[in-house]
Amino acid sequence: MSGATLRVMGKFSNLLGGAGSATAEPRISTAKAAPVRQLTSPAQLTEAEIIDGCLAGSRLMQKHLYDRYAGKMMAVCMRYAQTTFEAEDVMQEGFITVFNNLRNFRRECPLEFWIRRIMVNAALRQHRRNAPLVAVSESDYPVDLAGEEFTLSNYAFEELLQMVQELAPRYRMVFNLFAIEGYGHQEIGEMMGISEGTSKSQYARARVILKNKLERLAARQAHGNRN
Amino acid sequence: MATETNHTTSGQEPHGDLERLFREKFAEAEITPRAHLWDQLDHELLVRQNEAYRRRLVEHRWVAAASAAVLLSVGSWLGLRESATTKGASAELAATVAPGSPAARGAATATTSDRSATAAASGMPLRADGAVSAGTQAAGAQSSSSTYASVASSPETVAPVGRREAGQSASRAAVVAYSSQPAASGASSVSGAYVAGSAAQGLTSAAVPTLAAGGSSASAAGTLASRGTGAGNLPDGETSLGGDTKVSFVAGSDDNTNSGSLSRTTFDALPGRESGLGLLAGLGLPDSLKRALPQGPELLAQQNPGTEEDAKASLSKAGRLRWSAAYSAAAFNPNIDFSQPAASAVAMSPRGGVATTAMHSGGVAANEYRANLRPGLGQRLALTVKYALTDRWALGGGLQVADQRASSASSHFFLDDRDTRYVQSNYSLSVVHTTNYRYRTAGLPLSLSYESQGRKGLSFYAKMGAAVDVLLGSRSEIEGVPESQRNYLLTSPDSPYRKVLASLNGGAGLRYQPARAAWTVALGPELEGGLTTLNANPSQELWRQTRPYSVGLAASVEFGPKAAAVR
Repeated sequence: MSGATLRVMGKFSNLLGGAGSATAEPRISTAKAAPVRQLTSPAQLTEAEIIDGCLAGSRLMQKHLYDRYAGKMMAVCMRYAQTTFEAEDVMQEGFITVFNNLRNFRRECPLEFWIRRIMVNAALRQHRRNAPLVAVSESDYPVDLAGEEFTLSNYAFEELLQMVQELAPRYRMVFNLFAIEGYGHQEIGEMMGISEGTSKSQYARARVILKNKLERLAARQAHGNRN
Repeated sequence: MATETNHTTSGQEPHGDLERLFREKFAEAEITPRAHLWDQLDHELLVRQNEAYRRRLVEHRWVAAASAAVLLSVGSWLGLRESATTKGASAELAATVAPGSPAARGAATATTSDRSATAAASGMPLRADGAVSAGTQAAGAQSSSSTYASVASSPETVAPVGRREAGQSASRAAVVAYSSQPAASGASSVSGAYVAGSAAQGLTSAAVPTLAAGGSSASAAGTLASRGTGAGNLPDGETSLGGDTKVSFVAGSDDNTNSGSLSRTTFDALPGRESGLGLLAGLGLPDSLKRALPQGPELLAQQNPGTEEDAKASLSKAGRLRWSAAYSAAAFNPNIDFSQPAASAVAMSPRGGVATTAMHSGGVAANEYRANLRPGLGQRLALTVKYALTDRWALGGGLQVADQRASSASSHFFLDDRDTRYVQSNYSLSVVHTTNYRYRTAGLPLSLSYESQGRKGLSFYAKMGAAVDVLLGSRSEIEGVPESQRNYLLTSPDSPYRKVLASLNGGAGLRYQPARAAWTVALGPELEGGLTTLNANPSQELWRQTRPYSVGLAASVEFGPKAAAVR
């Protein structure tokens, strides 16, 4: 094999990400080895490298970004959606927004937070499209919200997710935004286009529903243990 | 409100309120999405990317179309400006002729002569041997003989102006005059040179010589023509060119102005403009304006098994041709300004009809006429054939006829370019009389259109183009005064209207093609603006001249191949 041929092969292996040349050693010692970039696994890529790759238009880097955050974002979307299909729609819309607006990401916070916020906004848009707003008076919510305690290890993620998904859409949105994401009721009211009192009322109702479900689940578990 | 509590102690399971329970369970949770989700996302990204490219492409095309329009406008303006330079020199000649003298009657012919000069400056072919002929064709029964002069000059005569000026005495024109020759095939054909100049009433003619030089530009001819306008100051029709170069001619016939040479020369200049348009339309697009991606919305269309065969069939030349018939109705404004400078006196000339003693109004009547000028209905019928350059761009050409009307009113019985109050029996300045005008033209339109050929359903189209029209006839009449009606035909020598009109037009709208249909209907607004004035002899500067325009709606039906013409 001539040196020129090897150089061509070296360039070709570069195009393939260096996978070919990592194992193929030149058999002619006189041939000058072409510089080969080591194959980097997606897990070894830094967040900045992935962002830069996406900004350069690399579909491979977009895939890496998707693979890195798809699981967590799917969990987020599942909390806001009633079904898996709805969650997938939200996540698809969210990732398209991510890729189209990645150049606006200022890298002042972890990328995951930025993506999560985009997913939440996508869920909000989906909610506005699907669920008509229902006015609820501010006096409808119970005043006493606290007082109970739950043993964390008694409940599985899937069980809690199912409880949240079974909530009415407006309750589910408010509960997620307040209890999980940490937004205040005023912010939630602005995001959803409802009053702060309505947000509080809907959260209180959601909380009562979830509390009852948790208690029933705990009772079933206790009954099962006794049996 | 709920507060987060943490009662975790050693040896006990962690406890917390409802919020903490959900927050901790959801915090690090992950759900692996289904595998096909990335494929859907990838496809969606590709589709949106294509849409972005398409939008960018449309923007580039609009920029290209706007650039073409600007180029066309600037080119036309430069052409008109060049011809106006020659026209201005001829007008200077007319001004030097003393009013009231017999020569003043000859001034009327200057307008025709300067038109010849205009045509000469527009790129007519010129001779290398420098032969100049100035002649007069016989016209009418009165003109039983024709006189023309042939000027044979040395090569230096047709050298560039600078060379002549440097040589001072390098060239002398030998004048060979032929008199009393029969009106044979016409002086304009002598030695292949174009004829300019005529003699009226046996006196000085406004001769506009078209000097020829091999390879010389039209502007050089225009320069010579300008210098030739000094003829009115010299006796016996001797014209001085550049001091030492003399071109003399003999003009002794009693003929009227030769309008035949005008028509010929003006028409000769038209192919040059049309070829310029064709060249413009044929410009290739730069790479940045080409389709960024080979596949746009056709991604879905490719799944249609019948599309490939249609595309192959459409690649033939016949598949690129589409026939179109269009009708447009517009508000047409002739936008004529007949006002004349106070200093330019124009003599009376014989006219038919009631205006036998009509006078040209210098200001009041013309201004009143213009102030009351109202647009009328302009209708146009066009038959064109379109050739698809690409799947979006098409070049069209054909034939169009138009009937355009307008009205005005004045208390001076202003008709066409004249104040006819003195010939009206019921003359009264206190009554405003409406005048109706009708113009009929036929022309050759050339258009460049942007449309989604072959797209079913509603789609957008835009087009721009130019047209050269010939004024076949005009009719004007004062309401209530039927005897005042005037009709000018294409052959009328004294028509106050320009006989060849150039215009630019543009339009946009929606087109609709039913599925599996070979026809398309389109409807949209259309604008047209004249490049030339409608009146033949505007007195204003070029940039102050008012040109006709129209605004209206155009509807068309188009027949062509069912599928997209070009893939």
